[in-house]
Amino acid sequence: MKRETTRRKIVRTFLKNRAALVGLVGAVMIIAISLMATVLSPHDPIAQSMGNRLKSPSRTHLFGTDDYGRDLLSRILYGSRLSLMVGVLSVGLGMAAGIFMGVVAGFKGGVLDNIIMRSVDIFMSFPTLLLGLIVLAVLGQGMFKLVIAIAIAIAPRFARLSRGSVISIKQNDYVDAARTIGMSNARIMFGHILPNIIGDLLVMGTLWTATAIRVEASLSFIGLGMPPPDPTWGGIVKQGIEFLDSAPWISLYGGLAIMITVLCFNMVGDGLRDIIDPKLRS
Amino acid sequence: MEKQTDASNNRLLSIQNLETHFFIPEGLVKAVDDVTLHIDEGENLGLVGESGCGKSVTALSILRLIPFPPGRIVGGKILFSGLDLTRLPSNELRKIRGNRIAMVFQEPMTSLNPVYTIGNQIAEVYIEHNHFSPKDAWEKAKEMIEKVQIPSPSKRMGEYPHQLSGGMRQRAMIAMALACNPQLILADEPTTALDVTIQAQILELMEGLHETLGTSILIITHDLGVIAEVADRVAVMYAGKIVEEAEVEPLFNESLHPYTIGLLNSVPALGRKASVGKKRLVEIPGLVPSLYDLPSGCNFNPRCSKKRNICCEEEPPLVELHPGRKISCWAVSEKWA
Repeated sequence: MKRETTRRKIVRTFLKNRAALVGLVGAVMIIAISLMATVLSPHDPIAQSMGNRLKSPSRTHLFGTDDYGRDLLSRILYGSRLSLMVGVLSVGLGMAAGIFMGVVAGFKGGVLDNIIMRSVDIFMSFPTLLLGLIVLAVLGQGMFKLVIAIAIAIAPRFARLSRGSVISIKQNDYVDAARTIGMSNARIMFGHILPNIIGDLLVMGTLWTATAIRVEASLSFIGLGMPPPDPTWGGIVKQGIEFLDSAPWISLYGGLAIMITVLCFNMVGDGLRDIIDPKLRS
Repeated sequence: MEKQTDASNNRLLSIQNLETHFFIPEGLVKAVDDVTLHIDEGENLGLVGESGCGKSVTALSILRLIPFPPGRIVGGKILFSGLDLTRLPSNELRKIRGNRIAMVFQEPMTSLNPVYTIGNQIAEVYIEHNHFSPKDAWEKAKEMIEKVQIPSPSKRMGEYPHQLSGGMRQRAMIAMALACNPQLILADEPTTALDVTIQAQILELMEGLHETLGTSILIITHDLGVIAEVADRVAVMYAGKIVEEAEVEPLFNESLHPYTIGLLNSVPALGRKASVGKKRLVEIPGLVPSLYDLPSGCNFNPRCSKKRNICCEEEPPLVELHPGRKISCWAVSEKWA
């Protein structure tokens, strides 16, 4: 009974935060929509129709058409699948790699710690977008390469955060106690220490999902995202730049899609941080 | 010499000339300086001394839990049923930790992982060493919780450390220590962090378990009352060395080393007898020396009422006056010689 109330309290606190609530609803809706993109799209996103170029929003084309006559709404819906998938996968991969490195570095210390963290420093000296750019230039285009590129930019930050947390947690007596019971180092690191630091990491994960989506859009804008004709939000925005005066809805709706998604994930992340921080501090 | 080795091979635990040093910027700290102790099966050894005398480091050395840097076992042997723990490879040592030798710590709140239920933490010991399935381990854990007399075991299994009182957490720790029926338990100030009434309960529990399960206990404490209650034999430590060792009654009734005498005298008396005469609290003059700046000769000499010239020049050896009675003091060994 006691434990349920604590959980309920946490959920209640989160829901009281209106921004977090809006963000959560928004994020859930966006995810649901992207999962049902194939069903919801009124038209084929890559079907060209040269007679229908640059049509403004109407009943048949709710968001209008682009300069190849493709339905913008369908392209944005399909683009959401890519953006969200890249966003979530790259954060997942970056978190896994970064946390692993950070936990090992923090726990073992010494030379290993130095090697790992100095490498992390090197990677972190590059701005995220630039790093993604460099990796893609080397690897080439493609969805998984995109995921890897963004993950490489994200991992160092998680390495740093988890290393710091591990160093403070490993002072605790229960780490010694676990060793006394005969636990191996691996078991202690990932079975005992990691569950104690996961809070902050999850918050960061949510916030970085937002960033990852934005970075994917930026890379697509530059032209390094998925190659045409696959629709990407960044690509849509880029396309629309040429026609800002004649067909502003292209860049507008593309940009709005990016903005709303990033905003929702950020609000959820902030809400999570507000819950986790006071709980940790107490 | 041969006789000694035979005896030590039959012992449960035989620490021989243990040296655990800490290498810190201020200097070399000999936290454990040539310590020789033993525990036989079924007996409880008390290790007494003030904070910083090296008792905890001795216990941690047994399980090789000394953090390096800055600490390290630099010499001596620790024989556990004939196995030299100082030379055992890590994976072999891990099989002994929590399994054949277990440890109970002073602070039960910080020694329990806050994000796991106590049921989980006790079950983990069974999973790790006996390779039980999670379900079996959970059942065994519940049995253990009952054994340490935690009320409402089923309910408590699913609770987190912060939901339990200090006494219950300590019982949970004892349950974890006893899970695999170890031959030896190292209890490092197990009752120091608890209220006096709870202390009594915990000590009773430990004694009871000792009697029913036959586990030997190394009880480390600065509290002489606890020693009187639990120990069969006692060793007194000062500044990293053993200064006196005896069975519990002779130690209390007829202590020989000036430090032991000082310790016993400094225990304040309770009750009417104490207020009669209104004596001042007796103290041992001076302070415990810092371990990287020890006096020459006997470590205790600056504070000793029986000091002789030789005490400032040479360290007294630990001599066995008669079987079971050891003392490290020039004044005393002279008298008995």
